[in-house]
Amino acid sequence: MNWFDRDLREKTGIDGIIARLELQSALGSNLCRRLHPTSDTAKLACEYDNTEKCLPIVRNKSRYSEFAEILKQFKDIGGTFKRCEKRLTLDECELFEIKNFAILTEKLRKMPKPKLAGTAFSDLSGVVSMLDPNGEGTASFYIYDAYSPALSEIRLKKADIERKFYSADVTGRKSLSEKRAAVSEAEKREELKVRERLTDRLSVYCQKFSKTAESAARLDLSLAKAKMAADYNMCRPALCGEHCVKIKNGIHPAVKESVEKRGGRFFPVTIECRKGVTIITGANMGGKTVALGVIALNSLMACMGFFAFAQSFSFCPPDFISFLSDTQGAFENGLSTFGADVTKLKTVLEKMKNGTGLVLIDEFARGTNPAEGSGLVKALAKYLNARGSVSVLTTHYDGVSVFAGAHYQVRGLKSADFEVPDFQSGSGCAALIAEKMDYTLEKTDCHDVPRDALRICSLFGIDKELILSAYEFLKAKEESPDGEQTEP
Amino acid sequence: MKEDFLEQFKKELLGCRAVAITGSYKNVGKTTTLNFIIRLLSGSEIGITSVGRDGEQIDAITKTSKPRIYIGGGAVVATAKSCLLESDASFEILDMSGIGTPVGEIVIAKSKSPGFVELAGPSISQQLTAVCKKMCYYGAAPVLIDGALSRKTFALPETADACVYCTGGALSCNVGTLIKKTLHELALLSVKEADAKTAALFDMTMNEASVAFCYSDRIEKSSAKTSIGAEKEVVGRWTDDLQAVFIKGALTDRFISGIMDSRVNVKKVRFVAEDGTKLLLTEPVFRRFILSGGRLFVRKGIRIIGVSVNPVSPDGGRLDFETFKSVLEKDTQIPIFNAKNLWPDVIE
Repeated sequence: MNWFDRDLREKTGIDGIIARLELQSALGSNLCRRLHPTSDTAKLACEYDNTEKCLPIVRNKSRYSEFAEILKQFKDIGGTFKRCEKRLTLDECELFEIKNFAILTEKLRKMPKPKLAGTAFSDLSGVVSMLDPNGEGTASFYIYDAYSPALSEIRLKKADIERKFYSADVTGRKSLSEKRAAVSEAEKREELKVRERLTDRLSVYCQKFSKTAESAARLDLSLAKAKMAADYNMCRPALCGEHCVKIKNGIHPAVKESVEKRGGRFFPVTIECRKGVTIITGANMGGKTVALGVIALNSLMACMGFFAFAQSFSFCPPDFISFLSDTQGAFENGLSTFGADVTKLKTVLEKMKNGTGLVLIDEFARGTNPAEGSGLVKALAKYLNARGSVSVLTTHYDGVSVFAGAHYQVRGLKSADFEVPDFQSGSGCAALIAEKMDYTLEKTDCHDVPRDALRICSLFGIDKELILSAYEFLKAKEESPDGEQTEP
Repeated sequence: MKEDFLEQFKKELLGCRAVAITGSYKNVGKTTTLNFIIRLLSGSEIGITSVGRDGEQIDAITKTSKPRIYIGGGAVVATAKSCLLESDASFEILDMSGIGTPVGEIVIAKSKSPGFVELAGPSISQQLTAVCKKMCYYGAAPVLIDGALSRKTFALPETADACVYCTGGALSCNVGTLIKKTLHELALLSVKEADAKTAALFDMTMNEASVAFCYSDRIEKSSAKTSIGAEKEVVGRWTDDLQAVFIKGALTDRFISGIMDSRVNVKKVRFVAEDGTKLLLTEPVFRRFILSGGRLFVRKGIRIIGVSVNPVSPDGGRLDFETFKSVLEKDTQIPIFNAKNLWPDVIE
């Protein structure tokens, strides 16, 4: 998935969200690292099913900790399995690890659990008894005497020599030392033969070992996804036939936490975006970028088989997701902000020729002169609206929504009613604005953008003369013949 | 006499959770001492590990032949995988610790028969504590920790509750010189533990500071990251109501000398360091401090249960052990012994 790049990961913050998964085993973590988005609806439905099946477990504290305890102990011994398959003689430590793997598998297999797609826990009791020939039931491993009568005999001989050692004199010791060295050699040779035989017998189980490890990983990941779903009140994504993204009360957990930490209030995002263009307009500091972020994160999560952070979420998995906003690194590449925007847009338009995607563009052409910028954004909206991808654009410019399929406005300060107090410092204003700002998205048929900028300026205590002058200019522009009016 | 000492020493060892074998220098007989203790405790289920790697066949630096560790059956050993598998003892694998070393993952295993083994344990303090805990869990009592040279700080006192201090001709063959050096080292390691109230204050305060000042009604933390160079601040804060100075990390000559030179009345204030291994003080400076009435304590004391002496020096010299012992005994209660004398048939 070459569209699932570092830029998208950073913009959506998905890595931070995935890091919150409570995975128990290295197997689960490794599987998680290999996760990538897909547009295969059958695969996604499977993943959602697996997560849903695990919900009852995570909601039951004692059942959940039972699973967690066992999964925690699974080690990633894929290297040992490969060696075994190739019949490369395993050493005592590797045999110990296989024994423990088999013991854990047997424990897990016998536990009542949901049948998850893609998992199969094989019967490894044969392996356990092979590596526990005396039936001791311990997890430790030793090259037991029971494996070879010859070995048993050699060891008795060795113990005999060792007993004589302490009572012998210096010359006696020397010859006993030599005898002991010879017997030790013989012991090592016989132990090797035993290990070769065991490796041989274990090699037939290798496919089962790998499948079991994969199953344990899947179980771990599904439980972790379910736990996250329960902890954050997530919803199962509904799969649509037609291209769209519909979110009801969606959030971005990291942004929400950050806002609440500052004492603010996070407004969940409710929006319906269909094929073509949806426009979002709103005042500065009005949360438009956050709205795009919520759509991007949840769409990406759903493409990766996760539930969504929303009350409800429906979509058709896109072929790609592109999120163009606040282009970082622009200056390092010798490009202006606008230059970087254009470069990225070119890539997106190319992608659109070969697939249907989800395209999120935040304030395109904000850095250029308003006349050209406005024209460009209108043209972009018109172009994208005629295409099959789902595009969501935020903008400052008036009249763009004429070319779009739908227009949402951030409610902003318009319904807020308050006196403009006599603020000396800016930070008091920022707090007041944050308090009064309503970030709810409202669908509208109007094609104008909200005009809160001047109000915000006056709240910040900017010189009254400047504000009044600005109002004059605004009034004049609206009344003049080449003022920006809605075009037919 | 010899039997009494062995009996007493054995009892002492069995009463410990973990014993560190530390040395003042290379070739002072740490490994021989370890082998001797292993032999002494045969029949008990002991644990053995090391700080870092030791017990190699030829000392990598001095090229003298180093004795290897000889263990009996039923010993719980924590060492790197390759060392374990090369040993001529056979082992029952108990645990793969997940702790890596340059020579492989550390395995905890129980010997099923006697044999020679090379020890390569963890070299990071927290890992060592974790490994010792696991060994205790598998029944090892006590755990013997072979400390590598100049890393005596690692095992003590977080992990080990007692220590056997090794010294010998390698440090000096002159009885007088060695006595002086040994007594000084022992004095530093045996500095008394602070009382419970002071210890609690130390724990509470020193999480966030390296130097702190206890007055009669408050504690003030210094912004200094180490005591090195902080002596000026100490002198500056020396008021009538200063009761104690807490120091985390190394306590150096410069620090103590700096305070002594300012002519403050050191009798009035208690100095509390973390433990004996942090006292990097030379004999003259320490003596001057104590003679002036200076009071030094540590948060955690170290119990030295024996001094092991290797009279032989790598360059062929020999220390007069009997004289050394009789002179040293006048100034310390800690038992002094020569492992090879007591048990010439220690297998190496």
